[in-house]
Amino acid sequence: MRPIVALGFVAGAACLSLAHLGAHTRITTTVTWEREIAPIMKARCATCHQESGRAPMSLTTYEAARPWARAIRHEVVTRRMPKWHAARGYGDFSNDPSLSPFEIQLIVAWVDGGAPKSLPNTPPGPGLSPSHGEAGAPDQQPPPRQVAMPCGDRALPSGRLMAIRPQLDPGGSVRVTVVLPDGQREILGWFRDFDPEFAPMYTLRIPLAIPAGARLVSDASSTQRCSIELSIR
Amino acid sequence: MNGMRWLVLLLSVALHAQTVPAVPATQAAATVAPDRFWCPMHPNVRSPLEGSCPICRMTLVPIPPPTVGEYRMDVTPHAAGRGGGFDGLRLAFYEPGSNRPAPAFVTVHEKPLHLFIVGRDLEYFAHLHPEETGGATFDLRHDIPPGEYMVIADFVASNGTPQTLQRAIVTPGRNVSQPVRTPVPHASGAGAVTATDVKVTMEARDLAAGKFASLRFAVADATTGAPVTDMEPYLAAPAHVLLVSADLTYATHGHPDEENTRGPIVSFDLLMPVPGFYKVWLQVQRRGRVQTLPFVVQVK
Repeated sequence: MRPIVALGFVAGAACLSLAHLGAHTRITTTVTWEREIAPIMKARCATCHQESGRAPMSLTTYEAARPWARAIRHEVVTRRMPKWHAARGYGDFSNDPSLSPFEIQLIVAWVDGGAPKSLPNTPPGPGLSPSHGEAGAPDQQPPPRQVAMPCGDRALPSGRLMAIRPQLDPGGSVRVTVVLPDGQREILGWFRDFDPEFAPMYTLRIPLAIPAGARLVSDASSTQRCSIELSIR
Repeated sequence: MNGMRWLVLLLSVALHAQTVPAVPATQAAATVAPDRFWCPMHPNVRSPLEGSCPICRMTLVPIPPPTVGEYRMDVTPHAAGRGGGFDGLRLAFYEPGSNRPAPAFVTVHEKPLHLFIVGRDLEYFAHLHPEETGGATFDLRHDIPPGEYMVIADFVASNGTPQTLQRAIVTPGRNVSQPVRTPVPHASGAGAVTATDVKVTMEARDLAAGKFASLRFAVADATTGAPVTDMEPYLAAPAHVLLVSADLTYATHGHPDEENTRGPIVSFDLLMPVPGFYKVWLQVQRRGRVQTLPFVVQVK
């Protein structure tokens, strides 16, 4: 979806949500902004959705986020937000910002239940807290080299595959698989609805050892331009 | 248990989307005092109040809050069988955003881990329970024929939120990607499927993207057609469903609204995120046999 279209959609949805979530909305959920939703927004949305951020609206406070509640629900249920074009379950990437199914269920429950900030009779309990990644040891290894190749069935240079980035026509999709010399196949990813304005390197959570003789098979569809950029160490 | 509290919360999440909630969410929360302390040696020993562990007498300590984010799952195949495929999987789980092994899993529906394997062709289905081998690892001994599959793991870590993780795998013996088949839905979202000794008719309503659809299954005897009232609990539930989108990128495991029914009706309210085809496997137990019944729905 093009940004201006997305903005129009979100603005429209926000108007609906304002009408729907009026001042007299009946609260039918125990999920609250303060306990469950704010930590999710902070961890997964606020990088872009903040004052003067890349996104068109801030989601850092209840007052700022509540008018967008219906739009937030739609965007997370359809997994259009947080932006991430690797299909769920195909490949495993350390920089995947996607919400878990349970977090999506929490947001749905919060919106459908009246989007409360807090509840006076909610029993105290542990809220969600952001996860903290491990910093790990300083990277002493040489920087990876970048290799680009057209889609198709291509010989791979040996080494450790660290990350991958497809380049496609807008809206295109490609499934990328490594075929090892013994015939075993490792699915690297299925990248869909390509957006040239959001084309990150998809960092493999576990680098893949590429022996001599391995091949990269990129099965593209609905696209004319298709190439794969690899980061190999 | 904190994990069970998340299940209660998840239940309220699903229930409040219905027109007439079976248990009001506020009531569900009000009847459950939150566990805020646990035993550092026995994490299943939990209490809303300070105290000591009845097992080891250690002082209970505050439960750390669950974290935002998904756990991670590594899927390692066992050696391929003679005819190709895998003869099992090793599964390892890690905390969100780290390489720390996941904490112990809560036993939910009699098992710490529910594993589903679904074929890319949407025909192969297995609901399995790998053996826990310690350190957040599990071992599955199960022949998986050559093909492409989605491995779906459903669990609750003892200090975490419910998780449904997915990983696509390809087993040896098949050198080309399997074609993506479009499943054929039953007319008008309804249909009847017969297994060993039950005939199940599905009635699906509210099949709209972004909504909770209502799937109602009527279980009858396969021979006589009489409504079945002697269903047996299977894994501490009257029935189970697994719903997956046709592209296998969305999966959810659900249990019926009716908590203790023995039939003939089991109904589910399941979120349908986007338009398209979805496959549903219903599992019920009767006369000691688990029976799996596949259905297809189309969401507009």
